Amino acid sequence: MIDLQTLASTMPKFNCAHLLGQLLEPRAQGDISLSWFEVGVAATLLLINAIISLQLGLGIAKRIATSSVRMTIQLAILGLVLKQIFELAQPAPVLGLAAVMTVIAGVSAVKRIDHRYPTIYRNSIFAVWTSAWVVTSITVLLIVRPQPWHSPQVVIPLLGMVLGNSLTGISLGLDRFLSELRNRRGEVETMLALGATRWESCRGVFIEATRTAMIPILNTMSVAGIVSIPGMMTGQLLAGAEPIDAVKYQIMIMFVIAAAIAIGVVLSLSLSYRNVTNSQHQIEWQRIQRP
Amino acid sequence: MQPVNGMAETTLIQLRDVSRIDSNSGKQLLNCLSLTVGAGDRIGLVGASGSGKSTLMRTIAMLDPFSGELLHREILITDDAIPCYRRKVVYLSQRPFFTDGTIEENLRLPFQFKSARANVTSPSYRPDLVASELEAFELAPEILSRSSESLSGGEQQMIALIRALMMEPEILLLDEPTAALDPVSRDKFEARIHRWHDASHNATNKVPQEERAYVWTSHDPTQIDRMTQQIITMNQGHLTQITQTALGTHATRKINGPKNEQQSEPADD
Repeated sequence: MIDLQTLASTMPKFNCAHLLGQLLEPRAQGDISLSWFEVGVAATLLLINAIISLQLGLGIAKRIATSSVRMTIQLAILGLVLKQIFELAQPAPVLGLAAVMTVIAGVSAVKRIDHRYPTIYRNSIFAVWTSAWVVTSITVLLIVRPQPWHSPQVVIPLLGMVLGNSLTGISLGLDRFLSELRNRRGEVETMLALGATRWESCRGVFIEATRTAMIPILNTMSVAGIVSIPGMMTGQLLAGAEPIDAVKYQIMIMFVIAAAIAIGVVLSLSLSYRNVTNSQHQIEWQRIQRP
Repeated sequence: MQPVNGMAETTLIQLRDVSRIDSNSGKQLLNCLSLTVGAGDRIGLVGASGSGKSTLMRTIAMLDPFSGELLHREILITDDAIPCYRRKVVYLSQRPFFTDGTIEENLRLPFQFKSARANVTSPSYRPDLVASELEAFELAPEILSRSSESLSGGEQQMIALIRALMMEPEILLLDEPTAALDPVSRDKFEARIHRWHDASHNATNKVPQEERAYVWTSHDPTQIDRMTQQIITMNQGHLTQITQTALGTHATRKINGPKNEQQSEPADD
């Protein structure tokens, strides 16, 4: 059913290195593999950033260096792990890696949040897990239908994309919900004092947080194909896929990602709402704290 | 344990051994405190900042979690009934808050809540009543279409009071309501509270006069004298002293702690 070629790696490609590489030595048609030397050419581009930073005294040269090294190590490890798992071709390692990725996504979503409550990590992981796995399962089992179903080439990149977007949405949503609840404390309490239920008093904040969380994906969807060519489609085009096929996959994945974000955000906000309010229609302000 | 005060015939609110501990600092905000608010009571709550006045008011409105019992007309309030209870026992904060939108939308807000529709006897929004209230406060009717940010502190507090009164509460919990007001606004505010409390039986209001009460906190002793008959002093989460003033008997008694209250207090009954 599935043409795995068209679902090739979605990792960002270094287009400049690719072009430089072509200048360096002619490449066979359809061959997109890079040598480490070609990757190194791309890395030298970053030197320009570092030089500018040093010249202007921006003070970010060190951060450029550390994040470059970090990114390289993380992706190298991912490559090694994927290589192992691709060779094993068993469901357990695929699901194991997926679980690890999911938990890391859930924890990362909380990392950037200013105000937290005690069970926020549990809720974030649960929300990421449920939304990403439900959506990815539907995508894999009903839409893409690889043989076997646990093909890591399909499952891992798809889940990765869904997780990355879902965690951004949940992070933005939770941050907005908790900070806005505190900022609008007087308003929220006034409503409670005038006979609002806990939901009636929090509804405005909840809606605003949901809206904030959905803005990035809505922006991405509205400029897709005009300002940017999305990462997955870029990868497929580089791998030699037909533009129409690449477009179909990209449209599908956009819908899938948007659905995952919506489910994850509403789930994480609902859990948070229940954790910072109680059945006596009170807000438990002392639970919301800076870490 | 019996409440330390209790002078009226109809008991509206009864707090029994109510405590509240700040879960972060471990500080005891309310310390095993008992109190009765009866129909017709005008209670002044005084004490230094941080003595627990606001905490007590918020607790009576059930806005914060607490331990102990709170009875409304001798009935424990179930969780589901709390929004309806808060319409009867309205807490007015020192600084009023409004949502985005016009003053009229803000005045209508409480009547859109589920608790307003749950009870057939609960009042509905009455534009004619709003108009007469605005007139009583010498506020122009155009204020209704303005946004809350464009109002002065005094105007905001009057609008907040109008909003509370429209719900026809039994008890008003007034937390330093005039602290941010100029003397003219303050006088209007006090006069309106007196008028609300003294409203005659033949008025069309559904809550007859003897069923009304208020608790007022203030740092201004002369205001407490003007507005209240019974002064309760708080210190570190305890009620330490109760004084009857003005229409009361001017009797003062010390309370050495929640366990040592005297039973021989002169009372109205």
